[in-house]
Amino acid sequence: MAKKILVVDDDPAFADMLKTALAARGYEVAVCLQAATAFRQIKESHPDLTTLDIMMPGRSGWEIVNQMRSNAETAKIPIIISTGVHTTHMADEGLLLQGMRYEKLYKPFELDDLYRKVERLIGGPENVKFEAGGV
Amino acid sequence: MGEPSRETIGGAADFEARPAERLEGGSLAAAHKSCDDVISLLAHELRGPLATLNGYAQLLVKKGLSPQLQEKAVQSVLEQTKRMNSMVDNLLQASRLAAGRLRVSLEAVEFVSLVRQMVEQQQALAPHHRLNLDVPDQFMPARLDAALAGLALANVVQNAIKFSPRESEILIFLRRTDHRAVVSVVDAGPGISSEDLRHVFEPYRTERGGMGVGLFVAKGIVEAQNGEIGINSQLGTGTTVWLSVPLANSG
Repeated sequence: MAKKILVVDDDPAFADMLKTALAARGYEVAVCLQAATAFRQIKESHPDLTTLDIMMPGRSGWEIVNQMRSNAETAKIPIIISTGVHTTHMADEGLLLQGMRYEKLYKPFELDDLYRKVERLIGGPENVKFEAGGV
Repeated sequence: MGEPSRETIGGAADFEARPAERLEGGSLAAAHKSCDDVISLLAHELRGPLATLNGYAQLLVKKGLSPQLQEKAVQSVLEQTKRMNSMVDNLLQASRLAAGRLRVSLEAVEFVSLVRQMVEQQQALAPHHRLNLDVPDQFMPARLDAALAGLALANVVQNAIKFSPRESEILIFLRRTDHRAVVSVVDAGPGISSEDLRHVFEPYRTERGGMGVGLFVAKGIVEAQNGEIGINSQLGTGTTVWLSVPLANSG
């Protein structure tokens, strides 16, 4: 069975691109465009990994990280934190992510870098379609 | 159709560069922090479409996409370049407005055609929403800056698209009232709280996401051409933004 990834991002075009890139690699991908419903969707669908945009209206990605960390069902789901701001957002970010498996991804990024980070967290897909570095 | 009552009209720009000597102690630090915050926000917002464009370009180079996905990728690259161009246009106009230096170049315009053309362009960029345009069968000659008026209209419609669920309908009405044309854009979004509504025309207010300049720029452009803009909304009922512009006497 294909490994499941949930993309959480309020930018539909970016979320579509990420979905296309990960699906082309061989993962099963779902998208959540609303920060307000993201935690519920993570809890219900229990993906193997979630990508999370940090700057979203209404609810910061950090709040969702905190919710995930505080819930036994979601605390072990690895996260790829994606952001367009190349600086640390929170002084206690390290504390918030303590004990969680995560990678950071700064927009824009190399797809091979995305694939490597996903593989570090959950391993490769069942059937690799794009080889990392195989452009 | 009667002109809706105005719930909120924003004031002058509150992100205006002020001479350092007028700022004292903490307020200078606060101004720098505010400037840093705005630049961080803009960097984040511009990197969104840039990352999308860059990602699709890499996927196309990898040559592993089906013909259908290749077409989708190329389409998205074109859309994202337009989106980035619109963001840059808005930033430029926001900066000019904040400095009181908006340049308006009036020309003879047929307003119904202008609205129709803008809606067609926005529909092409938003395939997951239905833009339903309702215009009267008549000419509405006006003297406007067509590029700026188009940007103001596009900002209002893009806002409606942004806050409406996918596959929902956005209604755009154009009506003539005396010597003015009134465009109303009605969305099916979640509506705006009364607190956020008070600040909706102020620049760089990002409570609702984005760069926070779209409605600020639309208001500045419309008012610079003797027009008016207003908004009606409450949580759970969607939002209507209307704008009116004067028509030429010959109409």
